[in-house]
Amino acid sequence: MGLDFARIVDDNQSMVVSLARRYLRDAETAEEIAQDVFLQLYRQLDRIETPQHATFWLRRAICHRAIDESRRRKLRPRVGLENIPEPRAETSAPDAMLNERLRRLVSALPDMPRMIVLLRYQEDLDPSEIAVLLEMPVSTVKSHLHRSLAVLREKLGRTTAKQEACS
Amino acid sequence: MNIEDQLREALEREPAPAGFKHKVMQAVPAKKSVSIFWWNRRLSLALALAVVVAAVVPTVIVESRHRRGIAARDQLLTALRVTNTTLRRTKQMIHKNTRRSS
Repeated sequence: MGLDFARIVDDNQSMVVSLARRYLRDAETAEEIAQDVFLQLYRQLDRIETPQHATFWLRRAICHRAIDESRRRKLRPRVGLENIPEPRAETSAPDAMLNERLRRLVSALPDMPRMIVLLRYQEDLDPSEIAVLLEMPVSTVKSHLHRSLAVLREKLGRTTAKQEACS
Repeated sequence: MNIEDQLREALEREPAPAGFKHKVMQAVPAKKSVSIFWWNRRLSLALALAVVVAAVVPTVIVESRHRRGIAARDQLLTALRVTNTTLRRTKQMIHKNTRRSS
């Protein structure tokens, strides 16, 4: 095996942990399954050809593990896109607050749209890559993205309006 | 900034928790040695099984041949006894007929 496992961990730990944390919303479980995914990769390292292949493998593995884990533990009941809670309007450090509001809105999305939004905007994958990763039609990915963006835009607009009214 | 750019900014990757890599690297040799241990155990069991099979199978074959040999011998003896009895009776009948005709 020609690949340096320590280097693979260095290069991918942030991606794997961030995806798991943001999807599961449980830092402890996220860290646990992230570790597990790296160990799984280690056991299959002889089948991994390049560092890019390792990144692809890890991304795919962490997505599926996180989805399975969420289904298994039923960490949260399914929430319709329309029922996403609106974050409270707050009034300091506008950019940081906006980012925080967005993260909260994303974390309140239902499971599949949340994973798709994370892969699109955290990992910068295009819809066809997401479709391959999650084994679903590109049209489904696009429709989830479209609906999620519409809902996020609307909720964000409403909280911003509230915030402006308060100040 | 549109919402897509805002999302990209908000969802930038977070750094992994301190010590994460260390934990992974510590877990690796442990997992590996466990699997080697289990492979060694499996290999030892397979070898022991092979030795037992190698010792038992020829004995069973020899015993089975021996048993078949004894059965064949018994069958042959029975056949000889039957033949002998038949010959004796035939001889007696011939004797009787010879005496009666003389």
